[in-house]
Amino acid sequence: MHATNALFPITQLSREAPCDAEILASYCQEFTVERDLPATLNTALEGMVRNLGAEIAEIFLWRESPSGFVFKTSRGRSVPRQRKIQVDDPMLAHCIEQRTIVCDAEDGTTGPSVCAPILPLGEPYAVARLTRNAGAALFDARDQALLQAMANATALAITNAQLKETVDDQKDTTRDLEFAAEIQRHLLPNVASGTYPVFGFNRPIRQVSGDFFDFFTLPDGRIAFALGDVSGKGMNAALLMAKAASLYRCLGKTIFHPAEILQRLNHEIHETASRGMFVTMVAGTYDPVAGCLEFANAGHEPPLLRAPDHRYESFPADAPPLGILPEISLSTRRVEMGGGEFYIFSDGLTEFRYGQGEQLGVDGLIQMIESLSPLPMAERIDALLGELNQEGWSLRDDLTVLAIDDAWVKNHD
Amino acid sequence: MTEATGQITNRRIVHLAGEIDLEHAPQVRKVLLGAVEQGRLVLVDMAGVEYIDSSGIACLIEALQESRKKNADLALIAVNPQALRVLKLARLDSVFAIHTDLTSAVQANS
Repeated sequence: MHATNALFPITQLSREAPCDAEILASYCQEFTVERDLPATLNTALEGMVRNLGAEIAEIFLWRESPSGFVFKTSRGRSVPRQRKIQVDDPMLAHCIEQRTIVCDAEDGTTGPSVCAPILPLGEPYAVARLTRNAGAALFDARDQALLQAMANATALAITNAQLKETVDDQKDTTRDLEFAAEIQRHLLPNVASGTYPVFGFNRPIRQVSGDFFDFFTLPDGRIAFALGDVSGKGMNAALLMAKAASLYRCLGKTIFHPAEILQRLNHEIHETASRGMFVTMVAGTYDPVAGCLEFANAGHEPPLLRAPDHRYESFPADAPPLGILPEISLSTRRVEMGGGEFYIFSDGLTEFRYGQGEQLGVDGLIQMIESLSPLPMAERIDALLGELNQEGWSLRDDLTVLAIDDAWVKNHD
Repeated sequence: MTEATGQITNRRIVHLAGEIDLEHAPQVRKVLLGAVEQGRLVLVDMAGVEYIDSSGIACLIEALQESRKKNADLALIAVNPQALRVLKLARLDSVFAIHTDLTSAVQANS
């Protein structure tokens, strides 16, 4: 550091007219305040008019297809221009194509003008055109350099405003998803675990779920139950889930024959499903007094029956998923529970993967159920999900489990 | 994923490979629907498919439904055991025509 610096404090460097650096500092300062895109463009033009002695400053937006310009906004003396009408101007075109400042002398009706390209993220976006009064001086090299610096600062400000718009849109989307997720949660039964012989659990891999389960007591004391898995993930799956779950809740209270209810659901879903979307589903009724189940399976992972002697039986689907064919034929199966347990689950459970290794699979699931079998059903499901929630395990799809515990009924008589 | 035209006009063969999941489904859908648009017989070669999830299956179903609308045929060929297991478990083997190889698919559709 030279000692002479102390003799010249910064204030002494100021001149009567601000230097270009000061002009640019002041110009950029305006963009540090949060502004939307129209306000950003107007602020940019106001600074250009003020600092470059222009009578008119205008911005023309570049359109890729069909290529051309449309007038966006102006500052200074107003010029009657129609918005959204394509402007064919070789000066503007040359400026954006060559990405360079273009000057023009006065043409007898207007004064001298200059154009600068505005290139946010390096992409053609707009041209700023400044025009002076007739008879005024041409825009010299210093004016051109200053205008280009201002156009570059404007490009940065445009990028910021666009990013802000994107973030605001994402906030809206996130809020909509939170509402959707809340509505979805209310589509599932809300029964305190351990107070009923049927237990259900759902965890979406995203905010909203393409899986659902339901159960409710019928007037004759039987319990209707269902678990469905919509193809895909995210909002489109969630919308079809909401439809399938609502249809089931409605039809399940009047149709008690499992195969028939799935046929009706198939017909309804097929009428309106799009993009090849489908629903795999198991639906049935459980008679807690007789200890027997009736159910049907349309394209879903085979449910598992665990007998008290630890033997397992699986029940593969005998019809394709709902929504693919206009009509399906499937059977209702009857199973004596004999104090056993019945597990229905979405493939999100069996497709749990440890690290890069093998999927959990049905065999892995059976091993976990066996190791947790001393626990009551509600705690067992919690413990199973707790183990799969540990580090190393990764969920690839929505996860839903529904379990029916015939022994619970015997213990709560 | 690649696509090739067969020797016979109006026959399209789509070769699928790798993981056909939610991430790749839009690209697979585009290729399959494009093939259905152009061909009277679309054969989907599944030999290289390592994994297919429900999003991938939905693409195949949409292509099948579209082919039926225009009176065309779509069949799956050389489905590897893992993908075949998934299709059979969901009873989709009753929805799709599945052939062991190109020759048998062509014979079945000749």
